[in-house]
Amino acid sequence: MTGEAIPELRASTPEQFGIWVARHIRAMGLLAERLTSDAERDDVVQEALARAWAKRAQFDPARGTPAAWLLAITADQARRMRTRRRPLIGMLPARVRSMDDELELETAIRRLSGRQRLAVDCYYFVGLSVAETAAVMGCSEGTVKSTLNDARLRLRGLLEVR
Amino acid sequence: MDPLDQQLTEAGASWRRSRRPPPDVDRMVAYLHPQSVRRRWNVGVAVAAVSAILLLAVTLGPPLTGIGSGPAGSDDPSLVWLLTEERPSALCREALGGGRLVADPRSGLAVTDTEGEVTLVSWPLGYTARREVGRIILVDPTGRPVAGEDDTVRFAGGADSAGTWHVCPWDSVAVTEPWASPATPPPAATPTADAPASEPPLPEPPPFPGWPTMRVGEFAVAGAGAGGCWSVYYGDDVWTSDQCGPGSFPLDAAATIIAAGSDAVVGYDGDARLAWGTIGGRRIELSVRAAPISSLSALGEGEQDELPAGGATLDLVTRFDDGFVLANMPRDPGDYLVEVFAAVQIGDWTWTGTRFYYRIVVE
Repeated sequence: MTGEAIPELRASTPEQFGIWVARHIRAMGLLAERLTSDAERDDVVQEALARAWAKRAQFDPARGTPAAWLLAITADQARRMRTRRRPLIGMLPARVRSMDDELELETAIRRLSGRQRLAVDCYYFVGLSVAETAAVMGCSEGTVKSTLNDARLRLRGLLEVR
Repeated sequence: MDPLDQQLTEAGASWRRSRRPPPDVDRMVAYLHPQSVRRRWNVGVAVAAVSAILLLAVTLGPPLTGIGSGPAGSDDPSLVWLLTEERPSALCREALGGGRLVADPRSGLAVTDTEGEVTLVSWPLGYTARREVGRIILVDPTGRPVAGEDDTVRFAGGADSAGTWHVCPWDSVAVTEPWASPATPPPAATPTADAPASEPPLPEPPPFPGWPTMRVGEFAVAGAGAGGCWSVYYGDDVWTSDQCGPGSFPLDAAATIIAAGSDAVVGYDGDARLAWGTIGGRRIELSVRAAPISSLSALGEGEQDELPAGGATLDLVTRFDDGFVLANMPRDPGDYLVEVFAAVQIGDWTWTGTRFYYRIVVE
């Protein structure tokens, strides 16, 4: 069963809702992990599912796909999780590593602005299309493209400096 | 194709391939109730659950008090070895630390940060650990379970040169985010005939009095907001725990200009007072710190719960005086955010862990 097979999402049971979101759960998990951490992934996804469930009557297929709606909620929950997270003071030093290109790239990505990093995470790492990334970021596809371009420029500079 | 675009595409694909399986959607939707939604145990439910576990342990198992710090020499198979201090550490109260509690053979219970990096913990003398329902529970010297595996905790202490964190025995270990059971639904709210009588509900607390007044000479410094994670106690009972927010510094608040070398008085004029001492079983500290605005503006979301330790942050000399804090202000000219970390008390009610912010310009 897919989202299209449930005519009234607002009248669905939790089980039907689970079937509806199942095809998007991997992308939600990837996005949650990308925006928070592996340890917090399931918490963020579960929060997002609870919120989506509570707001399911507000989902309007005319305004976007289920994937975009669920991923936008996931991104918002990840943001809330980061806000709630307490810094570990004086205890856990930040990782500074440059063991290989991948780690160097990751380190550079962490230095991007929030919007640029979100665009890079959604498009390259979660594997969303430009349209889906735009839905998650709440902006137009053109803005996503220009944000990705800005991010690449900044990354190029950061990686050259190293 | 742009080489960087290609590198990002390949890095993304490689990252996706290396991820663990996606979340278990069936397990997650099992928490969704047709009418209401509650994902995580709240404090009351968690306390009830821990109480139920304790009751079960007391009924079926050996008493919690008097257990050793490890299974060696003990017949109790549920005991878990725990690294403990021989005496109060000299590193006591250097800083606040914490993280998610995880089992670790070198420490018994260690903490891990959000990136999975483990820090070994040496617990105060008298602390013990035992395995209950597949989970390791940390028990304080009085036999009270204070936290469990996968809880996110906070404690005072300091790290030694090897990186091991030594927990201060004078401050309690606070659970800032309780473990959310992945498989066990919260216990039913309806009491059974055999269940112990539930305790009467706590009364509603008075309205939070807002931030205290800061005065420099005859001038009042406008409060810019409150933050941090705070708890509310009614006597020794937790009414609510670890409400956090807003998570961003009021860097744009209106500043009050003060003269270099000024001292400030922070406190309330009404019923509320800044509190000091042991309240609700927790040792309450007060501190006043300041940091140049310029050093804070680069901190991102989630990094603005409290002024970061060290660096450009100043620990201002403070003195406590009958519900007020007296503190010197920064001596060097500049634009500062001042943080007052204090407990607030009104009658039997205490708010702990609150942080109040004031923006000043020292001329």
